[in-house]
Amino acid sequence: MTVTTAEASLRRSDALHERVQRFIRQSMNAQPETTFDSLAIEIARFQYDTNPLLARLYNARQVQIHSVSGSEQLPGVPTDLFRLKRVASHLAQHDRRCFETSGTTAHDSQRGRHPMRTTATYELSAMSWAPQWLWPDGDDLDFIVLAAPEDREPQSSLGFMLARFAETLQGTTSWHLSGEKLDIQSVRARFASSIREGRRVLIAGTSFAFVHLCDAWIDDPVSLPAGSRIMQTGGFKGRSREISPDRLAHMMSDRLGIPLDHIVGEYGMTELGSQLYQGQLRGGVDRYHPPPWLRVKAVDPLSLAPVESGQIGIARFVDLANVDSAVAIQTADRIRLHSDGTVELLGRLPGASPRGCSLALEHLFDDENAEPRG
Amino acid sequence: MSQTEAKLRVQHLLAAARAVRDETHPVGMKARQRLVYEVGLTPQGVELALGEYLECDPDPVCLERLVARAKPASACHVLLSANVCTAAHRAIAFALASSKHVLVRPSRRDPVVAELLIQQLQANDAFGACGSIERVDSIDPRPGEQLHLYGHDETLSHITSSLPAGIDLYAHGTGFGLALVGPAQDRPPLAASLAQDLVVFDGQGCLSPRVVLLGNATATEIEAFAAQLHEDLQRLGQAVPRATLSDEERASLRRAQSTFEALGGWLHGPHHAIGIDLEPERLHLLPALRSVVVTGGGADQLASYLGPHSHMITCVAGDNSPPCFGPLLKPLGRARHCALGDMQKPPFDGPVDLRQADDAERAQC
Repeated sequence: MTVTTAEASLRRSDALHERVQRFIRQSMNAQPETTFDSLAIEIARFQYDTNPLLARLYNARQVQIHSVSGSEQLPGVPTDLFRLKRVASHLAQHDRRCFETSGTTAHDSQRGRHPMRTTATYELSAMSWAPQWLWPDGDDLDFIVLAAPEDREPQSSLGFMLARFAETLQGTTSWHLSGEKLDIQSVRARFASSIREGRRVLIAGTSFAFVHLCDAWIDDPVSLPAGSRIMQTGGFKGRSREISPDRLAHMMSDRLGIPLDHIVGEYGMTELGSQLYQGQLRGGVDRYHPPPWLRVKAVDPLSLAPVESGQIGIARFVDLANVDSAVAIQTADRIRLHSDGTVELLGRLPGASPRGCSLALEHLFDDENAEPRG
Repeated sequence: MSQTEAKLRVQHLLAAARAVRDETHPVGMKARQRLVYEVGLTPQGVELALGEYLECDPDPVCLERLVARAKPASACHVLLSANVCTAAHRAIAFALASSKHVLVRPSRRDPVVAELLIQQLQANDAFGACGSIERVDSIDPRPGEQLHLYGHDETLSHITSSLPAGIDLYAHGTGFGLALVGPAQDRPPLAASLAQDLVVFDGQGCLSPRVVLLGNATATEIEAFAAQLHEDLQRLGQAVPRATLSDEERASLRRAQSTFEALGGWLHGPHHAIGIDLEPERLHLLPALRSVVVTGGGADQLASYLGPHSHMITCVAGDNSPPCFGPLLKPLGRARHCALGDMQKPPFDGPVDLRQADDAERAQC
């Protein structure tokens, strides 16, 4: 990329970020002046022009970028690509952040990376949608975070988002994860002070952290103040025993004294700039709700064509917040998309059974990132 | 225990294997029938594997090496994996070279060749005079005995974590084959040989080629080699069709297709798939049978691409003399080396996977 081209790309990127941010703001209150599809297609054209990987994918699928008329025609970039290549329309020198997928340290070289030249759109996306589902009844909450602080793991998109939550919430925030170790004593102290002061809390963390937390309270359940809630995200990735989402929710409810309808699941991926939330706190169904700037489709795993509403497929996202990477993302997460636009998460598409000793190299071909982030 | 006795036991096994190989022998007929109906291989794939790749008449020098490589044990337990229908033969041979008492737990998915070999040995009085072999459902070695494990790394680490102390353990885990094509070589014949290596056992073995590296190749050269390989695999696929893929395997391939369409290209036929990576940075293997990644680049690029995974390479095929492969080959000392077209025919001198062999043994080979 020449200097002139790079500068022109940055200007295009800036303009698109501005338009997406406007779209987000407007869609929270009224009808945006631009349609979702027209903005998605403009972003796709920008990415086609500036990222040879995406241009190759479009060409291989025989998608004529300048005659695309709907976002459903954009080929989904497989999440795998984020751990094999730099998926970005800008040079590394312009990275403001680079979010990375979590994973075992043994496979560091296989982590997915999502470079960001600005976090403003990501932040606006996260902070426009999360409060609707996590604190629709007010932000006067103490915040207990079962994740590492942002300054310790700046590569974690979850940590980044939770740090923004902390800036918004009125109560005290504390962080209780160091590396993969949960500091149970400090959580115990925070619980005690919240109970003593009668302050409701939001506890946020990954599934594996909640398993460890529940294990610590097995003989000693607490009852956190009324109005307390949980935001749970991500999978296990070998860092704790695996428990079904239903069972984990019951464990959390029993041991922390938080009603089941105050346990909200978040679905996010390092490769996405937007998140989905379960809707119980707004009196809705417990299915996942995407924001207006994120379009979800369930597609057939073999043809990648959309399946009928209500049928099971794998999730394909068109995320306007992904201005500088890939606007259309193909995951291996099984979902059922309902006619009201809500999403049921059904776990990961089972990988091919390893049929050979040479096929057991899961981390070399399997889509680790397909598991929601942790 | 003498090496003569050990060799005698292996020779009895070789005689049993000859019956399996022979399509007119009742045991050979049974093997073919069961491998098609129980394991799901195609008749042509089974015939290719048994008829041409089941080693029944090894070079005597190799046989001596196999016996010499085996360390004597009072009993030898063997846990077999699926994947390569003939693999049980060599694994049992190595166990019989180690001990006169062998206990074998075949793969649940593919027990055929192991069972047929064991049954024949059990019915052979001459074998009974110098050894014993038993089919078992679970592995239960005692301290001082030997255990040969074949399978996925995860399975092996699960098993070894619960073993009592004092077991003499030989674990042969995850691995794959690497094909090298030098810059100055006549490439079409090499593509044909590579296609043959890939078709055997449907590319599922730990020696099967999964990655092809073209030294100092341009994008055009990489694409041309992939196209030639595609043509050869189309041709071989008609003669020897691949086993039917499960829905999961087809879905995995579909995902890989999208990835490789971005990385460089994708060529596939009814019985194979080729992913092209034009600017290799990180290794990404294809998930299903008869599939291979074709890529290329300079010395440092290839070394960095493969480096983190060099310990998984069991076999390097092709001309490894060009300097562009130098940095790459340094950490691959423990892999077997052979010509393209010979990846599935390693000398019958020990386990196919020699990554565990110590330096003295390697020098001997």
